Amino acid sequence: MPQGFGSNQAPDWGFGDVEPSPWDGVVRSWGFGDVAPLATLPVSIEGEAGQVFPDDGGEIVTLIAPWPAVGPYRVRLIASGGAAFPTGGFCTAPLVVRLGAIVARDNPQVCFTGAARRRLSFILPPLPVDLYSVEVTRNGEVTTLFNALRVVFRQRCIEDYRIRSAFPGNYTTGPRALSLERTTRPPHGPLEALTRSFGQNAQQLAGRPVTRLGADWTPGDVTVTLESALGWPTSGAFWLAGVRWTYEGINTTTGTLSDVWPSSRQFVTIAEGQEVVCDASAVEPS
Amino acid sequence: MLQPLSRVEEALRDTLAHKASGRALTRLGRFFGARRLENFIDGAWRRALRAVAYGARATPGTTGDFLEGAFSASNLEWGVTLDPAAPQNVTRVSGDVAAFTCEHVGKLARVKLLPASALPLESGLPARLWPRVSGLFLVEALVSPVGGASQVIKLCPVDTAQWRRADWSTGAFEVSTNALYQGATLEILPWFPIDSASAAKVTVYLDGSIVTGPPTYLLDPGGVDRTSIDANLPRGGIVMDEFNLDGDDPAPTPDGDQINGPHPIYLTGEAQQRVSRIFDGLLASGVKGEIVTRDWC
Repeated sequence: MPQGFGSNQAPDWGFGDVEPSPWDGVVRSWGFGDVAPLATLPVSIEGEAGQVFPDDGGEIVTLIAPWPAVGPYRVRLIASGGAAFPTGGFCTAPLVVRLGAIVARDNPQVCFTGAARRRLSFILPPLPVDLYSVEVTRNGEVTTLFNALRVVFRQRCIEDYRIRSAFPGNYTTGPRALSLERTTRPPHGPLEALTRSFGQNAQQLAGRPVTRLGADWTPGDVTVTLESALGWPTSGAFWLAGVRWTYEGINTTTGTLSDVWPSSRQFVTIAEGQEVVCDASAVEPS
Repeated sequence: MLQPLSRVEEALRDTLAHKASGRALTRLGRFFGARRLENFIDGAWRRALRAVAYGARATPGTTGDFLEGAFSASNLEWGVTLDPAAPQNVTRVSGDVAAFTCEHVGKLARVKLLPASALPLESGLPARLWPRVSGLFLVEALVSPVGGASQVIKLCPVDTAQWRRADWSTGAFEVSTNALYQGATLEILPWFPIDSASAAKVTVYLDGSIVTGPPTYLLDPGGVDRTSIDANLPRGGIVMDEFNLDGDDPAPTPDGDQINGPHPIYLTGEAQQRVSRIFDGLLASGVKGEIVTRDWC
């Protein structure tokens, strides 16, 4: 249905249109060449609904909207308690994605869209586990996606430890085994961050989601609590304590797998902190 | 790692007919000589492709698997109850989807149920949703239709000794006496095959609404005004006069209007023919296969 300039069918949105705009139902046409206010843009986060992100940062988040200009934009994340990240000003990406390539910028606090003005990308900094609103600002105008981005505890990565084990023992590589991992602190230090980065790439190339048991499992429990269910399918199978288990439901916020069933009966309690590996080969296509 | 599958695993799956999805599945279909139609979802096309790729040609099972798979997304399902006192009858659960009508009679159907032998269900035990799935029945008739719709269908119109004994009360298909588990699901397939052995031909009748394409047809006699045949006759395809060879003034529009016509000739009704071609290729040499769409009432 034609909706361009001069159309006799609503909504026209063209210059001089008498219909209230669909953006707010009040303002008449923005007029030819006018730029719609930022707050009226239909913004969404690229990806599947309900997707979550890790707390150690590094993931690229893309906001989809008909952005009025290439930039610059400032993006910051507002936690449920009102704290803005990073504190002390507008956050944003130390790097931006522009025209499909990641480029460093002189000012790390500004973001730009691609040439099509469709995708505005930024890279997540390390954040506390929480539900965040995303605030985008340009020329004093603000648009906010409320409670749009959930950050959960990070995945573990077996490949990290294999890389670190190749270094001499006196090198500060960070934990060299899953059991030695700290619970909350994100990786830091140059060698730890580098090995983590290489490990994550190796995992994404040919690995499987790995995490730890978040709470003791006792015989008879029909749920298993993970440190993080990031990247796990909604139902499937996993390996724990040398046994393959199946599960029917997942809660990515709490990291809980429900309706779990071990392939052989378990008689003893499995302690928190044990390695849990997702059986990715069991993921069935839709 | 935001996805469970690694890139190597994804690449591997893109080469497997039973695991590929999206464009990879379409490409695999082309390799096997089965071009995918846009309206087939991944799951249905994967099932169909498995029959095409790995099934033995010229066997009834393979052709059945292909039809089952390709049209599985169009199966209709009802919540029903089974009555051991009247085993031929399948009664729709009130409040479920629309009642049975003449569109459902003459089609193949199967019953999926939770038999007494599968009870009690152990919490947490991984189980199939429906432990017992029946063979295919033919929906024979509606019972007491009101206004063309009925709450009950019959799998056999006459009361026979065989049906009296097959009363959902013994063996693998014994319905539980626990009201909580008495519900079953009736699945009606949208296609029906007729094997004309003497004519070496297999015809599959298909719901007309499933495989549709933009209408293109020739009127007889050619050039006749379609409205003179029927005022509601849809417009067919047309060869657009791009260069105004007729010298019309003003020149006709070079592009057809997709809603009101004229519809350019490239909008052929090829969809159904393409399925027919795949189906035909699964049959034995010398046996002709065709898929015919029809209205069931």
